[in-house]
Amino acid sequence: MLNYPPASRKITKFEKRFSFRLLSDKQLDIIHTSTLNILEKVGVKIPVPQIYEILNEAGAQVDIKNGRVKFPSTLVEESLRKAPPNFYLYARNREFDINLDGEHSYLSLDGCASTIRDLDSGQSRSSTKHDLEKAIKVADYLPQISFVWPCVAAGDCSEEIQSLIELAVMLKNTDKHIQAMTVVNKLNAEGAVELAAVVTEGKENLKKRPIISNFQCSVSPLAYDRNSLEAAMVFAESGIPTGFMSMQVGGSTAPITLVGNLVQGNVEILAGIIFLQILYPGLPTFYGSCSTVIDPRTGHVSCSGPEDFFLQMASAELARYYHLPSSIGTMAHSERNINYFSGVSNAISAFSSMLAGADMMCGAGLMASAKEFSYEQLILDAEIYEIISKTITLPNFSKEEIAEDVISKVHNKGHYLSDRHTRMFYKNLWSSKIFPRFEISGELEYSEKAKAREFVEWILKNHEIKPLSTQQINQLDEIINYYENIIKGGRA
Amino acid sequence: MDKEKIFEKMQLSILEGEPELSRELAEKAVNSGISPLECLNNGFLKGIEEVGKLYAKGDYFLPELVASAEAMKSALELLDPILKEQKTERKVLGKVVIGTVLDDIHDIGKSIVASMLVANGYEVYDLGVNVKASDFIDKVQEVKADVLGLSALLTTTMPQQKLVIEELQKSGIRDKVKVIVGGAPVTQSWAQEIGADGFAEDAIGAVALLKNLL
Repeated sequence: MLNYPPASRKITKFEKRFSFRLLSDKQLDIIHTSTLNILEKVGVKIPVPQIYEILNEAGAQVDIKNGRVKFPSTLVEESLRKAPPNFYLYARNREFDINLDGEHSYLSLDGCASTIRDLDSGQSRSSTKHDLEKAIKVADYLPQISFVWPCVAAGDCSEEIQSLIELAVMLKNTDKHIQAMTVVNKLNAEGAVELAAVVTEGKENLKKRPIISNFQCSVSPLAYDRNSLEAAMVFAESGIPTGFMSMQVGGSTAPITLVGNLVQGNVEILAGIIFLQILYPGLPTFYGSCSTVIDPRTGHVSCSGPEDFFLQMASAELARYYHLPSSIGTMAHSERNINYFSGVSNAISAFSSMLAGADMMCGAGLMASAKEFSYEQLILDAEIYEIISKTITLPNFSKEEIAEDVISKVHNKGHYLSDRHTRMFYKNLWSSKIFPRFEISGELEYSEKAKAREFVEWILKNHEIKPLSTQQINQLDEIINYYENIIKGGRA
Repeated sequence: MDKEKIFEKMQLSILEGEPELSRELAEKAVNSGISPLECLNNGFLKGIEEVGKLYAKGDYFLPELVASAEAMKSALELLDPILKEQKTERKVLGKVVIGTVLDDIHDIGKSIVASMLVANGYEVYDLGVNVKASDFIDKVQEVKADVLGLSALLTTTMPQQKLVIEELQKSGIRDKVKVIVGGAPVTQSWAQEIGADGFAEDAIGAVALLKNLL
């Protein structure tokens, strides 16, 4: 039963070999036209006065008093053309390089939860640095996880440099690509670049093979935060792929109607991308969306439901419309516990993102509308991803698989069970150590959650991460100390 | 127009969430000699009571609730100063000061709680977002608040909730006001750790919490 394989050192990226369209070209055009109108006539708040002159020169209209920047259509289209449609997210281990070529989808961890469901007690509690370390180790093992996010906050560490501590933990505990999405101000961005450069052995190498990436979130409606944009600028300066993501909530921070919701999100995301392309033309960037709707009764954020699934698909298609890789909020159901609805929700959510061709899907492991991390949830989400991958990965329509000759031969015997052809291909069928599918008489009944938990315990006990050198670890710690002193001195 | 009709219109302006109309009606009524207290007791407050009932029944949802609370606030903006001048006090279940803590600009959850409390008969002073500890303390003292509500949506701004409680202690008024905390990363155990009097996960929980605390 406990026959788990050692880490395969491969990531199971999903190959998009089918075509599916939810929105028509005409519908996408309508969203684009409204977006252009709003970008041109209303603008987005971009409170970074130090670059207003550059934006002006590029053709943007800056209202210095209220920080509102308007982008005429020509500037929008010109800037978007500069963004590369395909690029790599690199990893310490080259086997884990992520090729955002538009033909593959990649699942990551989700983040960043502030609480965790304790593996031993089953109780919820605030997350710690040690929790992040363990969670990243599990993610390092799981082939379904192509790259990592800080899935839990290092809640027991100083807030001012929490994101740096989180990055150091991730650099030490996985050799997969790291999207350092909790870095949201200039100081932490500077520290993050330094930390990553330790592992790449220099900033030049980091620029050539960025092993970290970042994105910044808009503040809906129609605004960005100064700290956030300054962080983006620091990352861009070092050649770190930096995307922009909106998390608008229909009914509270965005229109209640789904199309209106999409338009607003589109305005915000594009404004961020255009801003950065003006300053750093050609910087790898991506289109991120975690949009959702409000529950009208309680005010809670939905994260589970047909509106969410639709928004995921439509956002992925919008990103493709702009020839940008997409990062689509996937799974992270609304429930406090793993239950029937949480399973239904995550399955449909993952299916929606994958069918719509999301390039990056964030992600696995969180419950309660992305507030709480659960190890069991991570395993179950990885299983959902496996099932869907196998559902919509087209088989090879080869002579061998069509098997005309086998069919012509075997009908005499009456079954295929012992045929060589069957032995050649049966291992391609899906099987799972977590989802039982068929009860085997005599075996103890186990819930999926219990099986997931057993699996996690095995991983934590047996999986060995590829550690950094002692020198590198010391250098990372030195940098953390340096920044700790900065904040103690109050210069942050 | 007779008084009854005017009061009916006032109730309706709340039920339909029309802040401009409610303010207009309040102004006209006061100018024509109707007392502000009557306007509230027979007009606007009756409207907001009905809103609370409709919400509890499941006929009204947050969009209606928040719009109605805005209309209520608009009427109160006109009537409260007059009441103060006349030294008349209106009956409320309690006085609540609420806001989002320093360096945090998230306001929707806090506004929903504020609206829910207004709809349930509390007098609410919403200080907005990015509020300094000293501003919370000053307002609590000024209005003699029964409850102070602190909202934080970031793990990095949650510590401010602890700070405000410490400042209340330093000012010697900690025991004069109940402190409740909320926001997505806030938990029951955090509330206990920092010595808050209560925690609620959403606006509905906040109303129930206040009924127990006061």
